[in-house]
Amino acid sequence: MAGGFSGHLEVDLELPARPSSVPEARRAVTRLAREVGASEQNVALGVSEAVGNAVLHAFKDEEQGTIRVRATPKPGILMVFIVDDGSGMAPNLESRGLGFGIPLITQVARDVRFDSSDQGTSVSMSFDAARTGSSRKPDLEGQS
Amino acid sequence: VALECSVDVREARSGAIELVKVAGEVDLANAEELNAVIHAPNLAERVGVVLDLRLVPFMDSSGLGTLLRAAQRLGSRLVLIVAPASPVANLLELSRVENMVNVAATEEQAVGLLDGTGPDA
Repeated sequence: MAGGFSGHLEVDLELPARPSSVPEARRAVTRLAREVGASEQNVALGVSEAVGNAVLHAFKDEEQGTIRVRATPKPGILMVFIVDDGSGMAPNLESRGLGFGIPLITQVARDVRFDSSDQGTSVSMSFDAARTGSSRKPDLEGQS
Repeated sequence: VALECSVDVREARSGAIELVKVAGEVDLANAEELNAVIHAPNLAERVGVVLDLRLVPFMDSSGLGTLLRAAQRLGSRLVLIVAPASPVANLLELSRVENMVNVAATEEQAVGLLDGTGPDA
């Protein structure tokens, strides 16, 4: 993992494209959601689905990929970006999912945008937030 | 990201019911663990299977897929216990699959559904 909370209220992570990155990304962004008064449930689900999609669909077998997770508060919203350096969204016949991921993202996010090419895929999501957060640095210890 | 699962067998009016309690978040990292528990060969022999998800604080579509496959396999012999307004209840609602799985709020209600004494039996 590289990064974490950068500055006071931002998440910036670079994670390997593997399943264990899903909870890591979700927990980091959900902590920020709590700080800025965004729906933790919605943010958790959106991030989990977007990172899970990247792990499952962006990389061919044996490919070592990276997923960047950024989240930053703006006035009234929390912006979340999930960007991979894979080969674009492709069906994964081994996937255990049933195609619920993207429909769930569109339901929980206020706005969502997908961009996919052979250079990778990016998912940009925004969530309503009650505040832009406190100026204190979030406590990274002892939270899951 | 290990899940905690405990399995008990309860004798109900209709026969032996497997009660599986799951605790922890369920996502792509560990959905296979849940899959292994609810697809254990001995479950197929039970009159019913109750999957208690009240201690699951988060589930995404990886877990949902596992639940739906179990529902497809076990049919009406599977009942989920889900706390009202919980993240799992929210996931079922957002995914519009509530009519594809039997859901109860309590263990007694779940056993009642399997015994044929529940409100929806």
